[in-house]
Amino acid sequence: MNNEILVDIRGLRKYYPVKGGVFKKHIADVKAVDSVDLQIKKGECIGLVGESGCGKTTLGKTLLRLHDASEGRIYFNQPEEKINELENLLSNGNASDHGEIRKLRNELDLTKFSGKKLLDLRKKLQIVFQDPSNSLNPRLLVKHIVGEPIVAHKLMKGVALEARVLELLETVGLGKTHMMRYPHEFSGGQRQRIAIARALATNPEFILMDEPTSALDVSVQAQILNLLKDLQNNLDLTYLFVTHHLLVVKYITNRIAVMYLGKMMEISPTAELFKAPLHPYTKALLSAIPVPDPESQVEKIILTGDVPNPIDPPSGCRFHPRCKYATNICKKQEPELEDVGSGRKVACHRWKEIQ
Amino acid sequence: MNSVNNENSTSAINVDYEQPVSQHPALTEAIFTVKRFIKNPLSIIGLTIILVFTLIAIFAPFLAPPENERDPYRIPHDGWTISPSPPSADHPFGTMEQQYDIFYGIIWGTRSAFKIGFSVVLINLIIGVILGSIAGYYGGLFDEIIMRITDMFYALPFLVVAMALVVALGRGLQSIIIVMIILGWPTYTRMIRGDILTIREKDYILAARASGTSDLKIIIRHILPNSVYSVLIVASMNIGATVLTAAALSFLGLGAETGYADWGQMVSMCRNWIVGPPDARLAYWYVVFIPGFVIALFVLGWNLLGDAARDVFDPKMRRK
Repeated sequence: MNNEILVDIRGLRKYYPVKGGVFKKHIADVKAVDSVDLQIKKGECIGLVGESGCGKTTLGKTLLRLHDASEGRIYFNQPEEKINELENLLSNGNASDHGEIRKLRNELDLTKFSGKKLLDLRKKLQIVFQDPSNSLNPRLLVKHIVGEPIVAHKLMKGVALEARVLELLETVGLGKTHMMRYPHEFSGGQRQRIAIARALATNPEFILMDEPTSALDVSVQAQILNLLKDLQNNLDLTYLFVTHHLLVVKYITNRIAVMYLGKMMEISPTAELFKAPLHPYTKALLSAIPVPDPESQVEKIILTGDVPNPIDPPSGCRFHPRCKYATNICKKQEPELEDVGSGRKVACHRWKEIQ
Repeated sequence: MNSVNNENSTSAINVDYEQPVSQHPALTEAIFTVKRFIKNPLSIIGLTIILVFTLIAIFAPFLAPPENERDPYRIPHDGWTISPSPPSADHPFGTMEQQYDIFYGIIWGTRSAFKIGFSVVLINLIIGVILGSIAGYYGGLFDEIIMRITDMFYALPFLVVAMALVVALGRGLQSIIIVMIILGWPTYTRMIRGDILTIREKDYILAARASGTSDLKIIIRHILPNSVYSVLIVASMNIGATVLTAAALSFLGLGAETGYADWGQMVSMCRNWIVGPPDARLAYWYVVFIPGFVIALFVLGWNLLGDAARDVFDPKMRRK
């Protein structure tokens, strides 16, 4: 792994408007993703964890242009100088730079891509969904499912296409006999393999793993995780691994980003995060991992209350109503995601005091 | 692409059930569907009824040779005697008032029935699939506009509009067909839109979008094959219902002119002969019963066929 940044997310927001009344007036927004910054390095596997509804899947799908971003920029494999030039213009530019900004964004920012540029982008970004029984069209044969991205980009046809589909199936541990079957004829693990083969079809650089193992049996989970690891090594892939299963994340990722209510709470290399979590929310998450030892005396941090409503998030730090370390400043001022050295970032006013 | 080392990734799953693939799986599915269909006796009855009607429609010129080749839908009549005459050798089903031959009317009326049923349902289906797909898949403003238009059509009282339109367009089967298309498409559009809404959010649609498949291809390959079956079943039942509605409109005097081979028109002609003279109330039973029975049989055939199709294509019943 090197330090080259593949995906650079800056100030990304995804709001869903809430409309009401006879005239469908815009009353409020569900702030699913609220001003998120995240850099994903080439060749790494970064985990994105958090409770249900904290916006992790929305973030991933916005990155793939399956949802449109409300605000913010996402750069995929763009030269750093150009990104900096645009970011500078955006932060201190004046009205006269408007045209220049628009031109640069259309060129660099994938949330503004359209037409041919978007199609080319789709070749490089792929997704594996949570539930393979939902992500494979029940009326298509496996060879058509796996070949679909190739056909969509008009890369191959006929015999070459068949050969490529077979190669992909073999890559994920399936074979020729599986080509002419329907998805319902497979087990969950095999279906997920088909979904992975489809994601690999266009030789992508980046794959969003949207809880790819949560719908599978525990025994099959391990197989799929091993397969994903092998694929990453052999095909030089970058993964964004969305899940709420912390042990899966521990096993497969290099870095972990913790999200809460649409915000990044902590970003840290996996080993360090498990050794010494900085953010109180991360501490609570880690303490909730079941330990297979009846004698274990680990203190569990029980979070009281529910996740607040993302339409009207708490003031200051979003976690303060459920945080036992919260003080006045946490209620008033929102903490920045600050760099605390050794590749770690945390968004907490009191992270130093509570260690 | 280099292949992943196989010890690690394939060891645990069994790739080893090597069965010879003898036939295309789509064919296997088709055979499976037909087998399920045959298992149900009601579907066989429905299919037989519709098949018989189809044969009658095809061989109408041989079953009842027209007197006037250029206008076969005109029912021949023997003289002008007012009162109907019972079945006889010359007229196997008897005659209506003015001696119109009932047998001839039934035979050629089958063609009219198919014409009405198919043209109305097919055109409604096409309009419904196109507008429903746009409204359901794209949503937003398209959806709003199309759905508000269907709402407007729902608000129109069927009979009043039917009568007004027939007056404007002139009497005849064409007018009835046009009326039923104008008032029928919103139902199909709504139904298809609803089905598409349930499919649209499935992950395989998102996967297709993520792999760069065009909207048109997503609708044709992914959405319609998974949503259109319920509508097709309703459509097959509606072929019968459409003929029934057309007969009702004819009965009200909005249909074809007197003597035209159309079941509804025939029933309407017999209005005065439903009840016979005081000493023999059922004297003219054949005038009403025969066309009425044929209409009922036709509707029943399509309903049974639609029911059977629903059982066969219902994904929950399909696999256990």
